[in-house]
Order: sequence, then C-alpha cells, then structure tokens
Amino acid sequence: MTLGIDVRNLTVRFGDVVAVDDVSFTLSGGKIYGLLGRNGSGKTTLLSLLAAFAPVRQGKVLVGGAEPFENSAVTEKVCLIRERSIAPDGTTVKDILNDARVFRPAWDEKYADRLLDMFQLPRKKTVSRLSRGQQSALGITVGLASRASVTIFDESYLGLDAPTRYDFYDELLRDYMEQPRTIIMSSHLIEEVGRLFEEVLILDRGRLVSHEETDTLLTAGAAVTGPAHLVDEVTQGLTVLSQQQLGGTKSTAVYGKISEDAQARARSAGLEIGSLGLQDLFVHLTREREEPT
Amino acid sequence: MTALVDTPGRTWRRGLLCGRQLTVMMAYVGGLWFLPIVVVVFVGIGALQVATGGWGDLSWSSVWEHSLQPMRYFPLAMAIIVGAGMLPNYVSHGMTRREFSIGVGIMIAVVSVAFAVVGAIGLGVEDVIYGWFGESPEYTVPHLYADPGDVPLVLAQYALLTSAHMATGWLIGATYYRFGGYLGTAMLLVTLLPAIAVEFVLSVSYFGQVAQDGFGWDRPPLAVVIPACLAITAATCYGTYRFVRRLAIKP
Amino acid sequence: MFDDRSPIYHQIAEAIKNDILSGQLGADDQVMSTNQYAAFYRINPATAAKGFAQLVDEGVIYKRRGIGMFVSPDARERLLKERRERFFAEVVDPIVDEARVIGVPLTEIVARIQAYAGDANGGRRTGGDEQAGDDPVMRPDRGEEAGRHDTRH
Repeated sequence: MTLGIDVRNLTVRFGDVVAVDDVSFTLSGGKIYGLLGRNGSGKTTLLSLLAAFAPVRQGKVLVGGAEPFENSAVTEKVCLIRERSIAPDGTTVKDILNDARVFRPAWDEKYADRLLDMFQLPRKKTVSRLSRGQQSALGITVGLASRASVTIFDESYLGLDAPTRYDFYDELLRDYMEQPRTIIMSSHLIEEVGRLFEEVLILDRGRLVSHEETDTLLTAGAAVTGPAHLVDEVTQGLTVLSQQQLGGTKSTAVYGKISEDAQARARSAGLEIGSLGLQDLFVHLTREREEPT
Repeated sequence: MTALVDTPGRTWRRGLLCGRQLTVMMAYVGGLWFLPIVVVVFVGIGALQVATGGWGDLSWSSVWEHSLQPMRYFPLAMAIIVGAGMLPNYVSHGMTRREFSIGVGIMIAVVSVAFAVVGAIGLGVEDVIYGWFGESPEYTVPHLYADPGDVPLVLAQYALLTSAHMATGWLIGATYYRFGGYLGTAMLLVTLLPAIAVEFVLSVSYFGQVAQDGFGWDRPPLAVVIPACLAITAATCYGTYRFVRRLAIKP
Repeated sequence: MFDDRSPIYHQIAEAIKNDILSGQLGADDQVMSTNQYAAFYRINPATAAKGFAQLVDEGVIYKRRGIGMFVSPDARERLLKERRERFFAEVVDPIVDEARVIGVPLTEIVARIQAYAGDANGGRRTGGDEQAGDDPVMRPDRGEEAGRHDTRH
C-alpha cells in the first residue's frame, strides 16, 4: 500500500522564528521524492510533522488522508530516519532491531540481517559507541527493513563514505522497485541523488519555492549569455534568479520556460542558452537575496 | 482504502507490546545487573555482621531492611531513562505517546510486583538465617508489617513504594526531556513529591518515620492508605501521560 | 553516463537510439527492462520508463506482453533516415553559416570534402555515435562518475 501526503497551509513557529512558512503541497504517493533545502530551511521540522514527532499547530498535515499525530494507524506506517540516533545510552544495535521488529508491522528481519552484513554493523555494540557512519548505516537499515508505506530519510548519510552511500542508493532503488512505497529523501548531495527522485521539492527559509517532476525541473531554468541588451530582451517577463555582467556581456539565470520562438531568435542573435542543472537551480533558488526594503 | 483510524483496541494491543518491551528491558537490567549486586552486597554486610558479632547497639538489626533504599531508587532512575530516553526512541518506531504511556504503566505494575516478591523473599531468608542464631531481625524504621511472615503486607509495602517511585521517575524523565537539565532539576522540588507523599501516607521507611515523629502522623487504616497510595501513583502516571501527550520530539 | 542538464528520460532514449545506430542493438534484440536500466544507472525507474515509453511511441522499440521490450525491425533504418535529415540541418547548415561569417568561400569547403571522398574509405562516420562503439548496451559501462565511486565486485 502506498500512502499519499497532503500538507495544507502548514506553519511552524519556534518563538519568533518561523521555521515553516505557510507550506502546501500534495504528494500522490508511491514515488521517490527529494526534499532539498539549505540548513535551517525547515526540512527537518516539516518531515518531523509527517512522522508525528510533534503536533501540528497551524495548518494541516494528512498522511493517507488522516492526521498522523497520536494516530498509530498512520504512524506505524511512517518511518522517519533522522541524521542522528536518539536511542538512550546502553541501547545496542540488537535492541533497536528488536523494537523495530515488534513495532513495525511490515518489518523484514532477513532483509535487516542482509543490510547489517552489507554495512558490517556489529550487532552487540551500543549505539553510542558506533561511528558516525555506522549510526547512519543503522538508521538506513531500520528505514529500509521497516518497509513502511512512507519512508523518510532526513540526511541519513552523514559520515558514510562515497562507496557506502552508493550502496545505500542502490539498495534504496532496488527495494523500492520490489516494494513500491512513498520515499522522501532530504540531502545536500544533489549531484549524487538528483536522478533518484521522481519529484523534487525545494524549501527556502521555510517556504516551498518549487515542487516539480525532476525532469521538468531540469528544463525549468536556463542561463542566457550574450550582449546585455539582447539578454535582457529574451529574459523579460521571466523570474530572474541571478545575473552577472562583465563589460557588455551579461549572463542571466532565469526560472521558467523560454518559448521556442524566443529561443530561436536568441540563438540566431548569437546568444547562448544553457540549461541549469539541478544543483545550479537549487543554488539559485535558495540564494540569499537582499530583501526589498 | 480503509481509513487510517486509531481504535482503542489497537492502542491497547500496541500499549501491551510496548509494556512487554519495556518490562523485558527492565528485567534485563534489573535482574541481571542490579538485583545480583544488591544481594551480594547485603549478604556481604550480613556476613560481616555475623563475623564481628554485630555492630554494637545495632546488633541483629535487619540488614535487608536497608535494601528498601536501592530497591526504590534504582527503579526510579530507570524510569527516568524510560521517560527521557525511550519515549523519543519509541515514537521514532511509530509508537504514539498514548501507547507508550500504557506501556510504562504496565511496566511499572509488573516491575513493582517483581521487586516486592524479591523484597519479601529477602526478608524471609534473612529471618530464617537469623533464626539459626536464635535471633530475629530488628527493624529500625516503621513498616506496614511487624514480621516477615506478614507476606501480604510485605508485598503491599514494597510494591506500593516501588510503583510510586517509578511513576515519579517517569514524571521526572518527562520534565527533564521537556524543560532541560536546569529547569528539570529545579522542578525536582515538585516532581519528587509523589514518591515522598506515598512514603508519608504509607508511613513507612525514613519519610514514614519523619511523618510519625515530626508531624505526629498516625497512619489511617490500611483500607484507606493502600487505595490512597495507589491513587497517588495512578494520578502521577496519568498526569505524566497528559504532559507527554502533546510533547514534541526534539531534533 | 547521464548529466542533469537535460531531461534524463530524453538522454535515456538517445542512448538507446545510439546503440541501435551503432549496431550494438540489432533488430528484435531484447532491451534491458526499465527496472534493470534504473538499477544499473541509478536513476528513478519512472524516469527510465518514460524514456522507454518515448521509444515505444516513436516505434523504435516494441513491447511483448510479459516478456519485455525489443528493438523494432526497422528501427535502425528509420533512425538513420532521421539522423541523415537532421545532419544537414544540424551539421552542414551551421558550417555554411559559420563559413560565411568568417569569409571562407564555399568552394573551398567543397574542395576539402572532396579531398576526403578521395581517400579510400577514409571518410569519417556521420552522426553522433562515435562514443557508442565501446558501450555495449547489455553490459554497459557505468560512466565515469558512477564508476569512480562504485566499489562493488
């Protein structure tokens, strides 16, 4: 079973700080979603609410059509793996897996064993004595083997070296194809994980600035370079993400589709139109801009 | 698709599961580490007492009587860890706070009875051993029981004390988690009250002595005292549940 | 293998077309399943499926229910025809444009090309399949980026 997610006008405040600012989106479910945002953009806060780690005070969060907070019909199907283990001192790897086995209805013990072997995790060691990477690997093991209808990995790769991260991505894809479910991943390593996502959501200072299919997003931005006045002409009416000028040459990054017509005209006028990769687009969309005063 | 609605049946089933997990954890730490240490220590003290022919004035006073202290404070400490440590952990496993609170209640009940049984056995064994020397243990603080043979009263006293202390630990752990170290410590003035209250009302052990000597407290009939103690413990558990019900798990 | 500067499904379709053009994939050869493809290149399976769907739409590959996807018998022919048509628009025309800008007479270009024609079979291949030769599609290379990190044996 795959579960969809519906977030309506969600706002979260911590004192004066607005961590999540009037965010709304709908995920149809059964896909791999990427949640991108800089540190402090509200990703973790948002994901915590999907997994009922905290009550929703303003707005609405629905998972499978129901509110997750204090509703174990939902929470037993939602597994959020955070970057840091929160098991108390003295808890061993085995203890964590025992609890997961009891509380996760779709838990797959054999799969967990296989992942433990793959990550070479010692079962008897206490969690606090595991290295950073081992703790991440344990989180990944719990997250995948829980086979939860909604599985969320919030930067669950810290301390893992590149080969192990790629093992994680391979496992995630393989298991997702075998048991389709809703997977949400937040990561800073956009170059590594961008192609895993079917849809991408970008948060910037608590606001949702983009929610698109990955392939759509890849064509959503463009960098237009050439003589300044021509560049301005072509990019008129589009959302300008950034601009740079050197002498008479200007390079403008825009968000939005440049019409075929305009593209043809631009090219014949000698302008260069390059597409913005996911990483570039992310950087532009979440850049510190001077607030208009 | 069926609606994802929580039902009381599900809550209790998962609450029971949670209670089982917590109890097993307590049994592991308590049974494998704590109780053997307590037994060894007290047998050691007892042997020393026999070897030296008693401690002067305190000769043939009960050694096991003093086990009441660790037998309360250890479960209290464990309950703090349960409140502050296991709750976030179990929420991340998909537990609701309600289910977890039921689990804690079950754990407190089972562990209190188990500790009471151990306490009663200890007193009985001590009585037999002292008997070999033609003595019987003397108790230095007030108890519900006058004699280790009063098994129901021995069990009642140990169970009521242990459960009150565990409920208090659960409350302390939750306040520490919510308010942090400084405030949590300051709040001990209040959060320790349930445990002290039960000891006071029950009029046993050190606080019982204080109650009797210092406040002229006269223990009402057991038919009043025992339900009153149970009510304090239950109210503490329920109050803690109300407190954690909207608790946010920290990032 | 794939960059993230254009839609990935499009890149997938292009890669398979290149394999057909280069002969790596022959008529009625089975193509990897979308899931195999997704796992191999670490891409979202829905994205891979979209690439394959595009190829089915274009008639380059066809589906056999329950078995898999195969290269259409006339796929190579059609792709070659298409590429040849594009060749003039995308390769020759820009050459002419550029030549005019920098003042190279067209006769000079024609002479140059005729010189190539004079070489016995020394002509260069046309189309964009130069890289495809060492990229067998049933067991393809993972590409530089992936290969650098991949330690599995």
